[in-house]
Amino acid sequence: MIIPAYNEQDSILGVIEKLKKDCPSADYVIVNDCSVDHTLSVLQNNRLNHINLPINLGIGGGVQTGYMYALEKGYDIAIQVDGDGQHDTSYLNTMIQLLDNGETDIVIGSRFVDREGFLSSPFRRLGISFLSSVIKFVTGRRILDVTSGLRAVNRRGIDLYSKEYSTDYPEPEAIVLAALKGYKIAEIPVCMKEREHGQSSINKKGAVYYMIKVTLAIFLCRFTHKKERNIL
Amino acid sequence: MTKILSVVLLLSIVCYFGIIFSLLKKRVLLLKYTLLWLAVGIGLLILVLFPRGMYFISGLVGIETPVNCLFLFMIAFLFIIAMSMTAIISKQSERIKKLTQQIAILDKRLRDMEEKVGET
Repeated sequence: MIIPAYNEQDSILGVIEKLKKDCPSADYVIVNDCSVDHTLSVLQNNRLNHINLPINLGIGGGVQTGYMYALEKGYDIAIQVDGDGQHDTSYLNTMIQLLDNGETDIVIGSRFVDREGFLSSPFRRLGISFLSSVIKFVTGRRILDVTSGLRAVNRRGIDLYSKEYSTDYPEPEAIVLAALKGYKIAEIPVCMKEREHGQSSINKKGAVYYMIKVTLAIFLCRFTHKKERNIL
Repeated sequence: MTKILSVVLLLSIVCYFGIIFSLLKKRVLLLKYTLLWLAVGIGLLILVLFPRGMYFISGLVGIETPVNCLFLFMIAFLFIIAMSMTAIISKQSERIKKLTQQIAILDKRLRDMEEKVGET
């Protein structure tokens, strides 16, 4: 489990406890993205396995650090779980199974397959569906929840993402990157909860900038990796 | 604006985008910091295709020669870009300083630990 955390002093303990209940056989590492609240004290006092980034890198940098750690330690599977408690960890075993039997290289926990649980604001849903169309256009794959941070990957994924992972708003680009390299991607339905403590890192004003930047980044990714594309 | 000038400018803008995309692809430029240059390219494209826009703005601002108005805007844009780059460099400086200090402290911790292990 790779758990990126920035200023999650209130949520992080709960996340780990739930994780230990739902998936006791899995190791975890919390990537503390230079939090300025008491997250570090919480991690130290409870002896939680963690990595401290010396400067703030953002979600992309934090998660990539997790993948690099996974690569170094030789893990077979890496699963991203948010440190804010929004992701429901009861689906983890399903995700692990799908990877274990070789059905897929990447599993994404999608809010929009069954449309249950917390579905985000309509504004964001519009953005997500737009990005989903862009990705379909660029890679031919139809992925519904392109911004979901609940993802599990096998060794191929660990190898890919530890070397190449976008720093800003990385989730959609990560899908495109994997798709262009011919990886198998599957989505399973999950329910997500609304955030209880702390603050989200995406706001309304940044939304338009986010859309433009991510769309351009997706096309750039396609442009850069043209030659490696496998035809399914 | 003469037809020849229009064509020359259009070709230049196409080259401009071509160079930027090539540099982006080679990862010489990061998309995050290149967005502004792309936006300017689009702005220039619009001006070349619709030169009357420039004449209108020039009259509005009170500058006799529209070209001068264009130069004014372009220079203003360059100022803004240079300033934003100064801001980015400043931030990077701070981050590099912090990284350096952290590495130095880590090095000390490591040496202290090596010493301890050496004693036992």
